[in-house]
Order: sequence, then structure tokens, then C-alpha cells
Amino acid sequence: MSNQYTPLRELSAKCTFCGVCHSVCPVFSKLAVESSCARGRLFQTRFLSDEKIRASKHIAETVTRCTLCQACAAKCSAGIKTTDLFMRLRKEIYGEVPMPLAKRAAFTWMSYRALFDACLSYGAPFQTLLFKEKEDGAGWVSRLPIPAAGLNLRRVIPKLASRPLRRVIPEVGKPASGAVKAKVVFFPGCMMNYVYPAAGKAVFDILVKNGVEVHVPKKFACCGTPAITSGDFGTGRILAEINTGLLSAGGYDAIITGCATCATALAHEYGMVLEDSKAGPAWDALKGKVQDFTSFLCGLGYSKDFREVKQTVTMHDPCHLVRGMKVAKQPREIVKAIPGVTFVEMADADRCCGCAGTFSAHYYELSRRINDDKIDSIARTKADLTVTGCSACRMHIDDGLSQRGVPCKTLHTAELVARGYGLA
Amino acid sequence: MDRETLIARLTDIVGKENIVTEPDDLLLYIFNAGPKAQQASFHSKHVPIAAVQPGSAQEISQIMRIAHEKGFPVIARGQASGLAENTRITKENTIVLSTMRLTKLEIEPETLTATVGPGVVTVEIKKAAGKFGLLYPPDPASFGYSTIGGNVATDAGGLQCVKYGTTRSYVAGLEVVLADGEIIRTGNKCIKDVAGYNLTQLFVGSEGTLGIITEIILKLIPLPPAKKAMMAIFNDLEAAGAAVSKVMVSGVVPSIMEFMDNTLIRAVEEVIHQGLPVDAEAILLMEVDGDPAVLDGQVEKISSVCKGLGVREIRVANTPEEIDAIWEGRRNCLPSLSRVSKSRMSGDPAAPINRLPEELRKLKELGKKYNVKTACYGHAGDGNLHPCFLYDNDEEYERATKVKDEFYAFMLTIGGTVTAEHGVGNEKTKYMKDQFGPVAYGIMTGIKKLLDPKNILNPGCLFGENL
Repeated sequence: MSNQYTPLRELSAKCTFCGVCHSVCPVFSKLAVESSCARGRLFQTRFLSDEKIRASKHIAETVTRCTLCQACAAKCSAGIKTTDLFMRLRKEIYGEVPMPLAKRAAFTWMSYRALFDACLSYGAPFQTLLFKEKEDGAGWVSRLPIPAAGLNLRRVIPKLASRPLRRVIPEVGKPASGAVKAKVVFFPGCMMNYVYPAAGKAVFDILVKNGVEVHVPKKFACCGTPAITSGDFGTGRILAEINTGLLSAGGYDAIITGCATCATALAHEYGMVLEDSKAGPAWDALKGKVQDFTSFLCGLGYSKDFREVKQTVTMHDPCHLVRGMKVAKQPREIVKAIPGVTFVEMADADRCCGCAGTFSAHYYELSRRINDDKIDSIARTKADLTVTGCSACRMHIDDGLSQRGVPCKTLHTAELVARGYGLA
Repeated sequence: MDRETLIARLTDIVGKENIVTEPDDLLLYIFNAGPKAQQASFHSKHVPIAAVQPGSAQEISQIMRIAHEKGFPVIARGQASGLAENTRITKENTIVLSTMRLTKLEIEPETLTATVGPGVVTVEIKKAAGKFGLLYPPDPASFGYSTIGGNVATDAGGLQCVKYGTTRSYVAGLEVVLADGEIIRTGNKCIKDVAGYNLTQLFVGSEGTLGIITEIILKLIPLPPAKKAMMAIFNDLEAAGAAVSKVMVSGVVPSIMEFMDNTLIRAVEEVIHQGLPVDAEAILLMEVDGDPAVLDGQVEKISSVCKGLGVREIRVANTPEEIDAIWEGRRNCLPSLSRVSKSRMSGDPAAPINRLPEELRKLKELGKKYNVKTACYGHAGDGNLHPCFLYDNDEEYERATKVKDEFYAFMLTIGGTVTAEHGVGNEKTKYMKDQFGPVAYGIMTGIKKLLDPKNILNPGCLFGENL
């Protein structure tokens, strides 16, 4: 017997059911049932291949109830690449079972780059129709519950920026003086573009300050992560092809990101969606150049021309940065180099914050329970500031801090570094 | 009681978010951990009727009252990571009872104890105790993911047993829900207590067949301040075997003393590329812990014993990184074997520590006799080996099984046991009568019948069909 699940079954065939995935899984820590973690899902794959079970709405629910945090992949004693496998599994299941309408609509929208860009660039004035400001100034809360978009009445989300990043920074940034140490392309991603432009500007300014010529092409599409992780490889492929084209042109020394999720998409996940695409060879040539701005700076050597920033700082490691890009030491090294910063490590800094993009939209209450552990870790450090290299994590942590009333602010790591340089 | 009524009653007790009833989800409970996990013939034949996650001993008591009255089998389960088919479902209409919500974790440094729920992952106890400068010593290879409930139920061992003993040595008291729903407490936080039969120790290692453990009082010890590790490389297999008991009687008690044969050395080196001596017949990996002032002397003593037996080379690890490198090789033993054969059976028998050379000889001999590839590693210092019987197909599996059975029989003839740390489970029930003899075995089945007259607690485990 052989079907579309058979290749996945083969990838999962070394699982010995040992259970190590259970001990690191944020979802299992809350639900503790076999269907909630990697081990169970690997055997589900086997049964789908054997046609002992059939794809159903219920199976689709259980395979999407995962933050794709890669903790299981990092620990698997059999070396199974669980996270990649689960994205492929979602793709196959959504080949048989219809994807929820809201997701389908959103991904179609994303694939029309210009329309997507226009809506998010000019959407800010219309936000008050749907949202109202939360009293503590932490952001917006929805006026109506909109479960399809993951908005429940208590979820605090950041405001859409009145000016997207593209209108805040120039298309090319050149160092004011001295030799150009490298010529790079900066891929800011949607969150930095439309929600946290100050973080995007910080990455841009830091690079220029360190003698780097930075290019930011206007026509980047969304990196595609929401679609790819949801199993919509078709949309992912359209977006990957657009971005691969832009990143290949220009002869850049490196592709710099300030968003861990975008980085992982560009460096790894495009491999899955471009498998038989004509853009495949171009992607093969550029994937090794993708770097988070912190690892790039550590490799290049960065200016220590900092001014004092008197803050107690802790750091959350985004899954896509610490496991996706294997970057954890570099942002710490740079942050600790800023005089005045008292760095306090939080417990389980590399544990998933529960956001996971569309996961927190679909399973908001569960994502909050996972986030509670993160908020507890942060609260125990008594830090003034939590920094992180992922805007989605930041948004979710902000939501948790506000709802739990923990007096700690969040910033993108780049914004703290920019403050150190006196750039913000 | 029909399925619907049962599920309604169970849902009333645990709440609907704590019960699994969807058939596709219940199917995921038929698997058993181990190298054979993927073989369809190794899966449990029955799908559970429901899986519940109670939040207290009281809820478990209510569940057991129903199960006892209506005759539903109940299998308590933590991570189900046991390697002896310890939570195999052998009967229809089984209720799987997960202990994962029982996660109390309190350290009481004043009495050197911890009070924990069975659902706590063992490493969390080690971490929590460490904050007070205390140690919970048992360290089964799975301690990073297995639960203390499972560790206690199987009396789990590990690397440091040679000095510190198995889980049993650290269990001072229990709360247990009996088959009929009664809740009892055994033991206490006293260091000495000689009153009556030791019920606490009766439940330790009983693998969920006598009751469901809902709380555990553990003993803790002061955390040893320092450690050093070393590797002794031998050209001769039996010399390595002989070194084990010689070291153990030398006056030094290593905290770990592990053994790897040539097949393992080569397989592991292929994975970790650390410069292991691939031409050596065996290596011993050892660790000593305690006051830093005495460790060098201990390392020297062990070295001189090994030299007396013609050791080829001794490598000493001083820094935490070097020590970790030594243990990385050991950690990779089981996974690395997938490079030698498609599948394998592994065991955990033990014998008195002076019999190791004979055991190694016998294993080789049996492998040759049946033309089966074997390998061996294990906790040599406490006499507990992990012989591995490798096979690539069904026909080889048959022969490998013969080697395994004959090797286990041999271990019993030299005063050994068929299991020193994984437990009997459903895997080793066939060896039990041979190990105990009819009278002792009868006493055990008698105890089982006294505490679980309807045989609803983990039926099949320990006794197979013999009840």
C-alpha cells in the first residue's frame, strides 16, 4: 500500500516511541495526551500511510495543534526532522480536508503582493473600526470577538504602524565614511514592515553604523511562513519565487534578517516549497547567505562605540532563531557589550512563547497557557526589559505581560542595540 | 456498564478536557517504546476504551471504584517510555490512566526529602534539589523525559547505581490508590523506621500491578562537590571484565563504571567522531565524585588496578567539557546501533560483578552458535549489562531470540537476574518462574491477588497469563 503519506512514514520510521519529545513540547506540557506531541503524530502519519485512519477535520486539528517550535526535532534521539515532517503532513492533510476558510482567504490575499502591501500600508486609519485602545497603553483589544482571525476580547495586539518601514528608511543605506565592509540585502519581513517599523529601522541603522551598505528592495513579498507552516505550499511557493528573485539579484554578500521566522523560511523552508521550482537552483545558491543581523555583526566585527543604557535586561530566544538559525550566543554578546545593561538570564529562555503565528490565532487560549510559563520566567528575573529577535514573540509576550500585569517592557533586540549606539 | 455510560461517569470525574475518547486519538495508545516500536506485531492488540488524566488521588479513587466494581482494566501511565512493555494494553476495555497532571514538587532541605507527584519528570526533581545543594541520585538514561512515577513503579536504575543504588534506595514513603479505590499512605520522612512489613518497598517496582502511586516521598543527599571521569582502553575483553571487580574491591567506589565492547566503540565513533579507539576490544568509562581533594588519588588508584591487568591506555577527563565528551560516547550507544543492523533487542540482566568475564565469553559463544550479531555495553560496575541481539529480518529475529533466551538462562545459572532496571513488564514474564522458583512465585501471585483480586491493575504485566 502506498499513498501520499508513505514518504512521510518513511521519514518517521526511526521513532522508538521513547518520549523525549514529550519532555520538551510546550503543547504536551499543557495537554499531555498522545495526540498532542511529536511521537503520537509520527505514528498518526504511519496510520495515514497504512490507511488505518483517514484524514479528517479532527486529524487536521491535531496536526495543527503544534507550535512547530523544533524543540522535539532538536532532542529527538532518532534524529527525526519532526518539524519539517509536520509541515509536509499538514500539506497532505489539507490536500484532502478543506483548510479553514479564514486561513485560505488570508493566504490568497498574501499571494497578491501589491494588494497585501496596500492594505497593510494604508490600513492604520481604519483600525479603530475594529479595535479600541487598552487602558494601560499596551496596544489594541478587539471590539468584537473574531475567532476566525484569532481575536478574542482579551487579546492585546500591537497597532498597525501609521507609516510602514518602507516609508521610514531609504531603499539603500550607505555608511557615512570609511570603506564599505560588506554589501547586504535586508529582508525586514511583514512584522517589521507594518507593525514594528522602529525595529526594522534599528536593524538598518545598526548595519549602516557598522560600515555596511544595506539594500532594501521595495517589492519583497511576505516570506510565506504563515502559508508554508499551515501546509499551503502553493502560496508559499509563489512568495518564495518572488523573494528568491529579488535576493538573487544585486550580488549581495549576505542576506540579513531581523526576524527569526523570516530567516528560517529563507534559509530552510523554501527548500520544501521550491522542490521542483525553476527558482530552486537560485535558492540553493543563496540559502547559505541568510543570517540574523546579530550573527552577521559578530562575524563582521561590530563597533563598541556604545553609550550607557541603564536597564536590567532579559532575553527570550525565539524558536526560529535558537533552533531554526542556531543563534543564541550572538545577541547576548552584543547586548552585554552595552555599558549599563545588567543582563539577567531567564529560566528556559529558549522555550517556545506559545505564539507560533497562526497557532495563536487558532488556539488562543492554549497559546496563552504556554505563554504564562514564559511570563513567569520573565517576572522572576525582575527585568525592566525583555528583548527578543522575533516580532511575533514580542507581540505575544507583550500581550501576556499586559494581561498578567507584569511591569516589564519589550523591545526587539535591535532597538536596544540602536539605543546603545545612540541611534534611537 | 456500556462504553457510553463509562465515559459519562469518567467525564464527570475528570472533566471533559481531561479525557480522550476520539477513536483516532485512542489508537495512539497501542504503541510500546523500544527498538521494536515500529513493528506492527509489537503493538498492543487492544485500543483503550478511554484515556483519562485525573488531577488528584481523590479522582483516581473514584475512577478505581468504578473500574473495580465493573471490572475495567486500568493501566497507570506516565510517559510510557519503559523499555519492557511495561504499559502494554493486554485486555479489551482498558482505561489508560495518565499521571501527567500530578506534578506536585516540594523540596524540604531540613529533612533531606522531596515530596513529588508521579507526573513530575525526574530531571525536574534533580534541578529543584540542586538549588538547595542536594542530589536525587537515580539517573536512568531516560531521566530527562521519564516520570518519577514510572521510575518508582519500575525501580529504575541508571549509571550511578554502582555507588548510589536504584530508585528504591531513595523512596521513603508513598500515597497509593488501591484497586478498590482505597487511598493508603506508607512510610514517612524518618531516616529509620522498622515497623512491620515494608509496604513502601512492596509498591516500588510493582509496575502498576498493586496500586496507583499518587505521591512519593524521596530521600535526597548532599550534592557531591566535584567529579572526574576517565576512560580505560583494553585490548583484551576479559581483562576489561576482570578490571571491573578488581576496581570495585580496591577501596574506591566509582560513581559510574560503564563498559562498551568493540562493536559499540566502532558504532559510536561513527556517530560522534571523537577519536575512540576503534581497534580496542573494550573500554571502561568511569567517574569518581566527592571532595575535590581526594579525587586525584582515586583516579590514580583505579589507573594502577587497570595497569595491573594490562590496560593499553588511560585517558582522564578533568574539565566539565572533557567529562561530557566521555559521556557523550556512552549516551550514543543505543542509537548508534541502528548503523549496525536494522533492528535489535536489548536487555538489562545482571549478575554478581565478578562474573563479567564469563558473561562476555558466553554472549560471544552464543552469537557464534546461532550466527547472530551481538554487542554489549552496560553498567559494569553494578553487574548490569545491556546485551544487544541484532537482526535485519524475521528469520534472524528468530535466531536472535534464541540467543537472548539462552543468555538469560545462563545469567540465572550464575546467580543473576533477568532485569536490573527496566522491569519485567510484559516482556520478561516468561522468565519469572525460573528466576523465583514455584514457591516464591506463588507468594508473589498471592500478594497480587490480595491487593487486586479482580486483576484489573496492569493485567499481563509481571505474570502474563498466569493469574
